[in-house]
Amino acid sequence: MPSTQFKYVGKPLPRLDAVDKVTGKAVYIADLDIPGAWVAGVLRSPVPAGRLKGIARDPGFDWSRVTVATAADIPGVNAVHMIRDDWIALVDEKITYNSQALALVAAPDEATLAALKPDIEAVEPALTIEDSLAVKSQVWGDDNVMDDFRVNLGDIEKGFAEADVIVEYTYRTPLQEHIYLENCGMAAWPTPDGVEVAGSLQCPHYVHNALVMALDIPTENITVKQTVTGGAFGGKEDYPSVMAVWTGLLAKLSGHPVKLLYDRAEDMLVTPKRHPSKVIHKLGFKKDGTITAAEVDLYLDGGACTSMSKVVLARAILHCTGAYKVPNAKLRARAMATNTPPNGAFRGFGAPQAIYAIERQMDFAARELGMDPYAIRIKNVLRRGDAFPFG
Amino acid sequence: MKIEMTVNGEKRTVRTTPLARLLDVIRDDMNLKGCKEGCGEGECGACSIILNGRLVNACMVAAIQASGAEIETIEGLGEENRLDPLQQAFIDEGAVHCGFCTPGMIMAARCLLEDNAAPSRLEIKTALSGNLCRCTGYDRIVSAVSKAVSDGYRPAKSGGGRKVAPEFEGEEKENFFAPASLAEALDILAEKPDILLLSGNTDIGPEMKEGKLKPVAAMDIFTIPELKQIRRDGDVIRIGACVTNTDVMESALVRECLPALYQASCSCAAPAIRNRATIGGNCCTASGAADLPGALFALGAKARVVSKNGERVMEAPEFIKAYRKPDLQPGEILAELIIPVPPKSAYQRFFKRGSRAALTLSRVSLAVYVELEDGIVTVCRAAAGSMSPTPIRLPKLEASLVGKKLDKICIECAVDTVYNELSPRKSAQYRKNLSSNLVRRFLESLIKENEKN
Repeated sequence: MPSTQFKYVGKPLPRLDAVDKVTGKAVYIADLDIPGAWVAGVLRSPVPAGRLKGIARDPGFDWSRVTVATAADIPGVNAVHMIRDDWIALVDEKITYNSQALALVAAPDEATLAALKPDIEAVEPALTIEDSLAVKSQVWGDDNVMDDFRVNLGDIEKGFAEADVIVEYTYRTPLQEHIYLENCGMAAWPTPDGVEVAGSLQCPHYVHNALVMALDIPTENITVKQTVTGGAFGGKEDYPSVMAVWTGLLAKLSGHPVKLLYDRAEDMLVTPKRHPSKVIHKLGFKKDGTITAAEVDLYLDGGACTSMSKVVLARAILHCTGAYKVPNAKLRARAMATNTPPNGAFRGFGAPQAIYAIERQMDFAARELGMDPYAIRIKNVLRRGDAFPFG
Repeated sequence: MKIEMTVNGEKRTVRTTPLARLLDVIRDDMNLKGCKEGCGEGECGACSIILNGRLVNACMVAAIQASGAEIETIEGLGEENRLDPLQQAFIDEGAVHCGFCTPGMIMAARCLLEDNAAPSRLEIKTALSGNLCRCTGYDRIVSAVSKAVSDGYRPAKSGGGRKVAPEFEGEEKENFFAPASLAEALDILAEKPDILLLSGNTDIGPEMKEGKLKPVAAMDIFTIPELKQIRRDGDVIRIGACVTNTDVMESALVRECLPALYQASCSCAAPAIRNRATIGGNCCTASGAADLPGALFALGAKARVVSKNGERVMEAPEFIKAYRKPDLQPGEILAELIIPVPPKSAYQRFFKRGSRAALTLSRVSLAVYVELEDGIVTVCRAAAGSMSPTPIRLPKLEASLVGKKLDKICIECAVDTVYNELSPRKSAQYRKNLSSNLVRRFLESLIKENEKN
């Protein structure tokens, strides 16, 4: 049926906000004019691991027009609610990553952080997946393992015994930054019985739940608004909750609207990134290229707390045998805690790290078996009725 | 400081500080929020505007440099129900996603179309190469610009502004200057030898933002006429220190006589930065990764520095004597680069390899100049960048070629020589391989060209 018969089907529709965006009228958080807004700043840890013994306030500094917030000022639970409530809003004592927030400041023009002097006892950090496994520093729980998933199928020993060729390599991928073109930013207004926040974000409901828990405000007294958001790519799933808790707290304590805007340097330094990975990948093949078994040990560096690691890890283990039929499998995936800023969601959500490893494996296997890289893939690709190792 | 500007056709007077970023003046003082800050260091193009008929990044223009300027921002194009055809094309082609890059993208496209009525897709891509879209909508953006062109969009050229000294106030009068002539600048410099000289501001601007540089006094020399000229003077070409990369690219004299320099300027950053970054600034920054010095070394350029008391002329490599330390005495200013006009028998080429096509720091840059007589190399100058604290001449490579007949054996010998001559600190193997392959490519092309002639 020709599309001319329809009103919408088969016809391009302009974006609802396109006119605002091409005329420069779209209001992003940095464009929002907030009369009387105070400016927020974050006092950050200069060390990746340690103990905060106290924060001294310069007695010579005029504190009369400044609001300072520390862990003790948080009315609710000192955590930013996400999958787990392990993202500490403000350091109470234990410092687990460089740039972690120790205190917040709000002031009418400029948030001066220099008048606050943190007293910190640094300890040896665990900065890599290997450091974390060896518990070089106790970052999270007893063993630094935040999540541990396993998938087993068939008989792994039999699978490798049947193999003519075994391909085993270790793959690593580094941190990756989203570089959404608009940096993170958040503003909060105190209301008589609650708080209103607006900012650059992806998930208003996450922000809402985080405010309920940390600020101990009833859900109906909180308003969360998403301003026009200049890109996110997963990078504004978790972090806006952190900024909302901070600005919301400062707004309640100061009685003024509070704005916290990052520039690129601060944004890149402190916000979550794509998880670094280490994948030890072993595949068994028949001479004709058929996969007989897969044993995978996959690690993601989650940073100092869970954030989205649990779900990112789930996505990684689901993809670690790619789109291929694997009759015998022993798969394990762990999210390790390290003394680095928490890592979060990023387009692909754990899949790219896993797919990178399996696809390189297929290339190496093709080379070792003298096969065409495309042919070996087609030979093993899942067909109707086949199942992944997890079913 | 009080400055007057014409913004989107309207006279605007703003009171600000001399080193305030034009971006902040536009956003905060004039409340034109369509100009966005993405990076604050010229890497993203979100703050692209047209300043005196040229595309610039507003984050890297100091307010002192905008006095008397004519500025076009996205707000000057069109409004709802009265959209500029270029804006409409962006909507029609689905070229708008998160929208944060859109105003800068449209201004960059507009600036291109003011100068080029029928650009190719490649020309559009080049013109937009300093504007990042992280939603990766490039294809639709390029299509939108093409559509505007095919719809008959022909924007009038934006005004060129005029030089007006800012009205300095209070202590600023002692510390900030915008001289109209070189003589005036040298007088000020004699009084204040430590004053910061602002040219394109593409290096200094980001350093000020990072807090690495906190100047208490500065002088804007960007528009001083004596420093803006490219001219032939007997058997040399004189290029003023404040000539921009765009000026170099647009000069018929440079294109004809100094193609290696032309190639170096073309490969530098992206249009908005090329419109500001100057040849003198690139030399005075004295960074190993700078692109123009390599080309200048190979072309046998000399640097002329002047002060109130006289002048000195030295070879360009002597001027760029150490990392971040040009050979400038207190009170001196780099006035011009003096380059011998190459004879007809000369061949020259500049190569740059970075991690991406635009806005990239060189991993390797290489400039080679050769004069041939009857197939014999009579003169050779070669220089490499990004492999040492400052760009360097390659005397061993040069010696391996001079006096030799340019043939396969000679080329292989030169390739081996340059491979061993270079000692990059990082990624050594990659850089040595790449550089020696580029030398081979250049020399092999010479044999072909020489046969043709």
